[in-house]
Amino acid sequence: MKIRYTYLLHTLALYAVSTWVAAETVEVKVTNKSNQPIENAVVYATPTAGLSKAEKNAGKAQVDQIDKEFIPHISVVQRGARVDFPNHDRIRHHVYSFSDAKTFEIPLYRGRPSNPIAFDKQGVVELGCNIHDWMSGYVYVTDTPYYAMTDKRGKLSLANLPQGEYDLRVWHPDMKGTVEDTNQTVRVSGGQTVNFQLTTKKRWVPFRAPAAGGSSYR
Amino acid sequence: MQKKYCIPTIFVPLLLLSGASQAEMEWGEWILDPSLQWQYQDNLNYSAYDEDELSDNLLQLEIVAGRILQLTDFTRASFTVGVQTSFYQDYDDLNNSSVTAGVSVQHKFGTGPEKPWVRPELFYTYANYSDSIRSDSLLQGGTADLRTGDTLTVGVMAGKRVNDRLDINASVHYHDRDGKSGPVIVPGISADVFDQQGWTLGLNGNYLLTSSWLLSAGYKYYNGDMDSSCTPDNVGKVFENATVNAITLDNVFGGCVYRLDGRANMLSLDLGYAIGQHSSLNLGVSYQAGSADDLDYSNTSVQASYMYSY
Repeated sequence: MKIRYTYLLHTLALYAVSTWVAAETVEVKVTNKSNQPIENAVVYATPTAGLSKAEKNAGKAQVDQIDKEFIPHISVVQRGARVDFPNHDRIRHHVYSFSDAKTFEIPLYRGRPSNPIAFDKQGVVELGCNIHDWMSGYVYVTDTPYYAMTDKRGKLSLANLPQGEYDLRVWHPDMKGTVEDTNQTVRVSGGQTVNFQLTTKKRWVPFRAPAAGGSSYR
Repeated sequence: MQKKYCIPTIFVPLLLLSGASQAEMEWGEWILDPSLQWQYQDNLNYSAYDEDELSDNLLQLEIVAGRILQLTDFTRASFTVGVQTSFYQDYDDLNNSSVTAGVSVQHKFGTGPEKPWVRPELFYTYANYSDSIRSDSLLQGGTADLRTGDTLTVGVMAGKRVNDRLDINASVHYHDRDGKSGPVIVPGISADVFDQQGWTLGLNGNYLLTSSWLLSAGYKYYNGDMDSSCTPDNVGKVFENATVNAITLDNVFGGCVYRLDGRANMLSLDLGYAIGQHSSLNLGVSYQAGSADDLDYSNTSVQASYMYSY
């Protein structure tokens, strides 16, 4: 009898563990109101039950400066991530952000700054260079490790999601409204496709090309 | 000429500001900006009389090279040398080549795209024309390329990005041009028509129409010496209506050319289309209306250009 109880307990435990670690994939598509795909949209899934300790694993990231541009133009990191800003140009850059999610400044530098910047608050961090005003980049900071960016077809896969209920949200620099407005609560059980349709606005960056009317640069 | 020795002092305030920052001075990016421009002018000779206005097409090739010296976090100096050559379709005596050396120091007041900036600048240009007076008898054995000579320009620009789409700037420049003397044709009146000084005040705005199209609008006010051509038929009227400060013969337009003290208002509109990150196609029109005593002048020009910036 004792053996039968032990067997039953082991079976239940294995079932519980297998249920907990079952990883699912959610397919996401992001389009605008005209059903055109939106590239580089950040989609992230936050468990409604909260994140476990193991899921709070920030990691590292890198935003390069190449030919006086931020590469990649948009990055996504988990809160607490330390981000490097290596300068691959043969001139100095002066990288800064005044965003609520992170305010920082790396005055004129070449190469790799000695200390990465820790992004410790969720939200959008807009990057700029004080020498080259047209340089524009974004780091989106999420709480959750479950995030991805859309490809040219506006598609992405959120993989390795444990089964459960999640808040799915999307962010893109061209979108109108807030990320909270995009929230979709989804019970992840496998094989789902979630669609987001964003209202977009025009985003402006200073004209980099030479202009007959003159330029503030130089 | 004493004023020329004072010019470098315009950089002193910025150099003092520069000293307040920590970054070390270091050479920055190279500058290599070639451009090709076509221009049409409807009153090339800037005549005060409609019936004598002459028009022409001009092709201009320019290459500016140089380097930026980053002085501090917020201040950068730019050293450039530009070579320009101009070809006129009909009035090829106006064809010319010039070399310009320039230095400017730009200071930005803080961090961020919308912080204002100020830029004192100084340019020295030597232009070589082939507009010789060919009448040896009038020159008593000599020739002179009247328009050949040097020009010193000093000024200050200041600007600010107002929002994501609009940036504005204002400028004031003083120029001092030293041309060659032609033959004296009116006793007691100088023949140094192309010795000219003047002030220019400018306002300019650049507005993004789309991410690739930029609209620029400018206004300039000029106060100083102006030159205009005259003919045997109208030179008398010129003297009746304005104070002529210099006059001489001119081979380019086949009559005479004179200098007077005047004022002009200039409006310009340019439309630029970005081709990638480094080059643009531009189309522009500008209108200039000037006056001196009782004489009025106007000139409209249309231009198209291709500009590249390394």
